[in-house]
Amino acid sequence: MIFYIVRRLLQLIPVFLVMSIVVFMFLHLVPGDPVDAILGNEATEEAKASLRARLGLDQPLIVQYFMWAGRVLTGDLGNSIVNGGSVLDTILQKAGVTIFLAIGSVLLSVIIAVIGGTIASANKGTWIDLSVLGAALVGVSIPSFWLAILLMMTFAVNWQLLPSIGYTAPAEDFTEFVRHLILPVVTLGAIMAGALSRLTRSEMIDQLSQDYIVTARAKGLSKFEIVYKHALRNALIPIVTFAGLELGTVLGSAIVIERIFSLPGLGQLIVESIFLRDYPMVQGTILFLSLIFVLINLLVDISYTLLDPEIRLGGEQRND
Amino acid sequence: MLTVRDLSVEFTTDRGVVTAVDRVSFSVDKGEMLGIVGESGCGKSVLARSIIRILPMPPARIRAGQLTLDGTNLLDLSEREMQKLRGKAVTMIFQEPMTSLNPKFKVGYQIAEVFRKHFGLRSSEAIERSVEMLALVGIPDPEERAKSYPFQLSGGMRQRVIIAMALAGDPQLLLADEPTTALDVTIQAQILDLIREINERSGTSMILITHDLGVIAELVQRVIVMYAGQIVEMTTTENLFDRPLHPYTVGLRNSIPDIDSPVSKYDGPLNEIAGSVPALDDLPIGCYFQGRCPKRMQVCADRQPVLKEVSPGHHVRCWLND
Repeated sequence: MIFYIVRRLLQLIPVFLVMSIVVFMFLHLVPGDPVDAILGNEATEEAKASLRARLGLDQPLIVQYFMWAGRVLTGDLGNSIVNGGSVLDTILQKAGVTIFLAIGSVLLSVIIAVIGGTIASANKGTWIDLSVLGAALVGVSIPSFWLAILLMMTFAVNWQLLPSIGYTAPAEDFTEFVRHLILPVVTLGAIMAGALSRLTRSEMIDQLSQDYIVTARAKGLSKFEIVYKHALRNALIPIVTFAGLELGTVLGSAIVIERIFSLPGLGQLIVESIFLRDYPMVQGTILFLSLIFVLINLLVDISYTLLDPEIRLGGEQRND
Repeated sequence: MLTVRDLSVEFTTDRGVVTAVDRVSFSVDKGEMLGIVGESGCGKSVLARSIIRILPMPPARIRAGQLTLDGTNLLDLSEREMQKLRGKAVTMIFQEPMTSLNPKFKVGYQIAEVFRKHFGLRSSEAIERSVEMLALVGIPDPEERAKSYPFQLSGGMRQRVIIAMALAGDPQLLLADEPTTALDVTIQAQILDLIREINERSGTSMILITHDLGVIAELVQRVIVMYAGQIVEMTTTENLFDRPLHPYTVGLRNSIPDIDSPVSKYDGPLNEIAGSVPALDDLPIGCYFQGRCPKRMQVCADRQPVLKEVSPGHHVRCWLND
């Protein structure tokens, strides 16, 4: 098991390398010169040249990369071109909102999907199954921004139960924090639950047709024990894998949702920084999000060792 | 002890209702080992699963004049009451030891579930009892093996685990569906010995389902031969080999290669019963075996023979014995 985890960690090294090159190159490939952005179009050539030299933009690309990578490794993501503040500090300050949003919505989607998917699979072909499938189809098909606006109009505007936009830090007022996050979390969670409950259902149907289920029935176990203990335990790996992927993609969806609900998270930060051509900020935020994405996948891989004894004990010999 | 009278199992399919088991009647005495033989698709597995009621319903539907175990009518029980009997009074072991255990749980735990469910034992006691069961079925180092996952055990070991699990509830009736088919020949012999030993020691009645007449000869006292969902012959093991009456039984017996005669290319092919089992949704009028029967007569195509007792304890469904 230790070997498995160490191997997974070593495999991350090339991933990080490629990731950093892509993030670095990305800024040098998009049209628009950061120097123009900072100084404006009317600046003199000398002024531009001196700024280029100060930012290291006159160096060959490869040198620039290593200078940048070296700084990144020490935790220095540079400073904002717009306001001069530390990129890392800004990111860390805004990351909380996005992380709460992501974890909350993925948890919600897993809860909905596991309950819906298992109930559907245990009642395959009945109206219960069809209702779950129908609801899942709606979840998969609805665009997130539309659902967001719909929920906002219903719960915030018409019924005035929840705030429509904005954010309160949990340390400040926890109740308000929860109230502000409910609508965005439900929006993302409901949409992700669609695909995940379909996956759970098909995975559970597959498991419920296995031989060991018949053995469990012959032992006298109840339907509940068979579905929620024996079958679900075997269906968990694909469910966890998919939930991990969702946690990654939700970071992307957050850009839209944070915009709609005016949440001061990383998604908002990226959008604003792009408009302002704040290159170090965009670069730093994307790097940070990619890092989180990779770490989530690492966690999913490690969770396999808990979920599957065959992976956990992979090195052990079969006792034939 | 087990009495089955006029038991039928029907499946609703896209092409209509098919009868997988057709008005089967038999009984098993306490401590008796009854064999059921027949080709794949003859309804023997469905029959066993309908006794313990683990067929998916729907599409399956069970109808019976009587299905009683020790005086309890199994068909009157609710699913919840049936769960209390399964694994305790009556249990079943299956053909595929590779897939019949849950891959994600330790084998000791899977056996312990029976003790927890039916005897209300706490986990630690239940695990202790499962270690005892593993020792009983001849698994070396049972304490360690209880902590193994199924993938860490060989096929023979797994089948022992499944047998241990079935015995954990101390059942009155054990249904064994091809328990040795998926195993190597040497392991088969060991498992058959184990089954015989259990039967002799605990007096558990057994129904042994197999397509292997060798297994029948080894273990059971009485045999039911099934064809297309019907019993075609029911008799003692001795009669089955020495005086088979139904042409199908004769064919089955003749298809066993004779180990004493050296096989050479002059011997010709192995004996077989020509043709194959008719589809259950396309059964002929008259005798179901007529299409493959070497002794077919006109009456076979016109009317279906009934199961008749031709001598004490020897029942045959064939116009030849009318």
